[in-house]
Amino acid sequence: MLRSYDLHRDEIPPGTLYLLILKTLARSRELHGYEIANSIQRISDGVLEVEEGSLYPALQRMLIKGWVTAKWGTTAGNRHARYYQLTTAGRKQLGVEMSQFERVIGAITRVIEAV
Amino acid sequence: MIWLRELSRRLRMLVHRRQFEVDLEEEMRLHLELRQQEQYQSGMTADDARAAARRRFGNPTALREDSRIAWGWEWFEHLAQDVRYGLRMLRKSPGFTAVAVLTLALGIGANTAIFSLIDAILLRTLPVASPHELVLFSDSPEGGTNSGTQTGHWMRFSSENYTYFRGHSENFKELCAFQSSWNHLKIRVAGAAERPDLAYGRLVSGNFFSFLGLTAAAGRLFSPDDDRPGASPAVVLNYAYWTRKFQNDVSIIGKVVEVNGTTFTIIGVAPRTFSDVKYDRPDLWLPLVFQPQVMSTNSYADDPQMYWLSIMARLKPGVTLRQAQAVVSSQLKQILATQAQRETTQQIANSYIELAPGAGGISYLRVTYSEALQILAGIVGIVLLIVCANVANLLLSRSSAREKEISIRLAIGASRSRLIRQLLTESVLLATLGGALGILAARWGVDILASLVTGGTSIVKDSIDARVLLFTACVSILAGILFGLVPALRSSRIDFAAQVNGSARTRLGFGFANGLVACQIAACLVLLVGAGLFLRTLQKLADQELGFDENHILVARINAEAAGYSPAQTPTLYQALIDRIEAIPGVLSATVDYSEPFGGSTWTSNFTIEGLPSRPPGQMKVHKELVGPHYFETEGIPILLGRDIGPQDRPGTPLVTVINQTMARKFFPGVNPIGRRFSLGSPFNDNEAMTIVGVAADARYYSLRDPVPAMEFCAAFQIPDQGSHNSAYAEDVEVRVSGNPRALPTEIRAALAQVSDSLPVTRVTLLKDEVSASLRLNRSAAEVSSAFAGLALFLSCIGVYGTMAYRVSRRTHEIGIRLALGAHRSDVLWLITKECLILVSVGLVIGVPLALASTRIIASQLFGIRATDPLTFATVAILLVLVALAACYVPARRAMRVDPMVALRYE
Repeated sequence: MLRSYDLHRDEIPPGTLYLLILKTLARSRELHGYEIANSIQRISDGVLEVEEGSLYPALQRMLIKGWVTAKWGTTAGNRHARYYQLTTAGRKQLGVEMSQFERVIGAITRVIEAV
Repeated sequence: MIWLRELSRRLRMLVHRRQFEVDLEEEMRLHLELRQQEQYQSGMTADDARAAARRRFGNPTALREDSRIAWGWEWFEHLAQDVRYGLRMLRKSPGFTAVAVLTLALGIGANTAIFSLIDAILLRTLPVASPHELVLFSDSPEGGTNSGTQTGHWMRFSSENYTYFRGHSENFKELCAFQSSWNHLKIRVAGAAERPDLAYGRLVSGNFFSFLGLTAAAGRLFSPDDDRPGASPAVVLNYAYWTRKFQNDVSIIGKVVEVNGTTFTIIGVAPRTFSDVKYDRPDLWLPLVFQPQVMSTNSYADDPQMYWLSIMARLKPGVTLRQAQAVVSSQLKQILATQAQRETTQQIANSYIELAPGAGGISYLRVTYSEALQILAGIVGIVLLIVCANVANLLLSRSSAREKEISIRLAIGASRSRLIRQLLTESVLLATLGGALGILAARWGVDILASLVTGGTSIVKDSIDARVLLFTACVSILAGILFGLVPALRSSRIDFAAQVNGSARTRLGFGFANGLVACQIAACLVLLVGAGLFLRTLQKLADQELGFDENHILVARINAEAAGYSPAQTPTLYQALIDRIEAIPGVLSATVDYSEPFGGSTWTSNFTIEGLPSRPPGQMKVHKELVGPHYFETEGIPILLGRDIGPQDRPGTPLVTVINQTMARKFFPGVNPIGRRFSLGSPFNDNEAMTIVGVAADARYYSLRDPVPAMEFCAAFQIPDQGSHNSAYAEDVEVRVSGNPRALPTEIRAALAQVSDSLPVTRVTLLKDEVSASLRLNRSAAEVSSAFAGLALFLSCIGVYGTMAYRVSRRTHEIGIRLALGAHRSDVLWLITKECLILVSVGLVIGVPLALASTRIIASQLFGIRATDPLTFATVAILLVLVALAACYVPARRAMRVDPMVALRYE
């Protein structure tokens, strides 16, 4: 079950893929997988490079959890695409993940900055 | 709640998993294509763009797998895969599948059938509130009334006892009481001119229905106020009676009926599911307080020595049956000690109450058949184990045929656990198929078993219910794992290099297979010994001398009460019937009998002999029978001294009786009993004293097992309305004939109808058939255990054959060498036979102690034979050796015929 968290690359801190997806979806109304990948990359100025395929198992898990819903729609280029949308539970989860992340980052920062 | 919603999403996913695959595929393709397009537009060649897109995306197969795992249904898909594969494998070897499924169906079907009987008879609870709180002060199914003193195990209680226990019930929430017996009622809707109807009624305490937590189907049920002195008489109808008599007419509520001469108001109907707490279901219930009116006797409530009630109670939470029992038993002793010293100290010390769980009510079937059913459950359990051993053996020999397939699977990377799961799936599949077929087999098996065991009463309706199905499912899966596990573990532990290159000569599973066969033989021995003991018991019982001429006596069951005769009219009626029947050619003699031999009812009493001091009541016990004139002549029982009951013994003449030899020997040792007088009860009562006019030879009336008790046969016509209401009428006319008795029933019916055309004659049977019906339980024990032992023998035979055949095929090479080196064919025969004998001997060595231990359980069901009967054991052992030798004959012949040249060239 934890396999999806291993992103096989070091670029994304482990455990933050959900957070990134949730945050990305929170910013827009609905996105399909390719747009999510691009969005993460663009906003991080190309620093965070997701192994793009791993978005999909993660999205499946988020569907099971009920954090996102999906429905089929049409892209600007008139292609069939599955659009993901944040649910109320997802929004709540985003808060949880955010505070968890901040706690960890805060702790790490304190350790690094300690003399 | 969150997990519930999550589960529902997962389930939806399981249903639409094809769609899921398609969606995911399309989503991923879109992603790849868009990325590729982007790269292409940024100036890459088409090939580079595709490669880059793939690189960034990762491994799509792994990701797809990962997404599927996310939904958590991978085990299900594996299972479906395994089942499909398993079914294919089973189809590929139809012979194996058929043998395995059929034997499993027999084994599981037998267990299902027995379980459904056990479920219906032993496990079902009363349809009342919290049945598991209920306890009975005695669960004896006998109904009746005792008067005088009681000692030992108390089955019935006086009104005074009930009042006492109700007032001293620290351990009980509440108590209720009901009549142990029931009453014949004559019922007439008030004002109707019709002849009264006969019905059964039970007297119950006012809180009976509220105690049970029941609500009326119509009207209302009793309240304690209905059971107080001065209450207006009320009855509650049984639902079945309401349907039968009043067609569920609600307007009957509030109507007035005349019951045995007293007017009662119908106040309600009990719920449909509830028939009573006791197996003999009454048609209606009446409050205890109306006992004198209903029974036309004195009030039992005022008589502390009239024991007529059954008591039921609800345990308080946290109180165990044992605790409550200790308290009530010591309370009972206390009551007896403080009372008017009616009982001796010894009697009081021996008195005790045995509380019984009341959840199932008082069941005649449970008490009568619980031991037989438990023995049966043991027998079918052993049969199922033998079946499992057989199938395991088949699987083992098959797994050697599949060694190659399995080694290849292991070689290309299947994990051992996955392989075991696959093999177990196949076994459980086999067992499931067997179970499904077994349920079909059980459907008619239940009827056969029920009629064998209980004599055909349709006690087990809708017998295959959800509980039984659940039981079968569990048994099937357990059996599948039981017989599949070891073969699966073994076959997945293969040296596959040796297998694949064809050089394997493993001795895989040999010890285990032999062990299985030896255990089969041991189990078979246990069943055969059991069956042998039951058969010999049946034979011994059937050979018992009865003491009367049962082959030439016809019994016609009549009911003068239903025809409206009063007790005072009966002597004339019965004499007329006897005279008319004796006029039929071929009839030697006829009489009436108030309770038929082996009819199941007994009437015992203590008695006092004139001129002798009263002895403690326990020692002076006699079985009383009421009989008509020429009784002993008709029954063919020799009169040893004095005379038979005759037509001269009419109302108004001094009371006479004939005693049996046992009574004469026990109570009149060394003296002539003719002319002596005794009276029932104590002390001696001159008004009711009877004079002994004859001594008859002993005859078996009640039981083929127990010794004949002391008996006296009173002339019934002398006091037509004597004793309890229930025996004022003769149960049957008995006719002794000279020729073939089967030719006469129609003539007897016609003769009876000539005398009284309103007299119901329910059936005319040969007494011999009635006696043999009393052996039903013994006969069915013998039949059922023989059938299952035969099945076990057959299965073990297959087991021995299979193992020996397998061994011979594995040793062909070795046998070839032996023959080439000069061994004789007879040496080879001995080689194989010896192995078979060793196998059987091991089985016997295991089986004999097992049988000795388990036959002790059935010892109480045996008669005239010890549970360790050496003859039975020896016969069974010899039978097993012979059968095993026969089973190994074919493989042994095959071994003898081995051609050394062929054997050595092989491989």
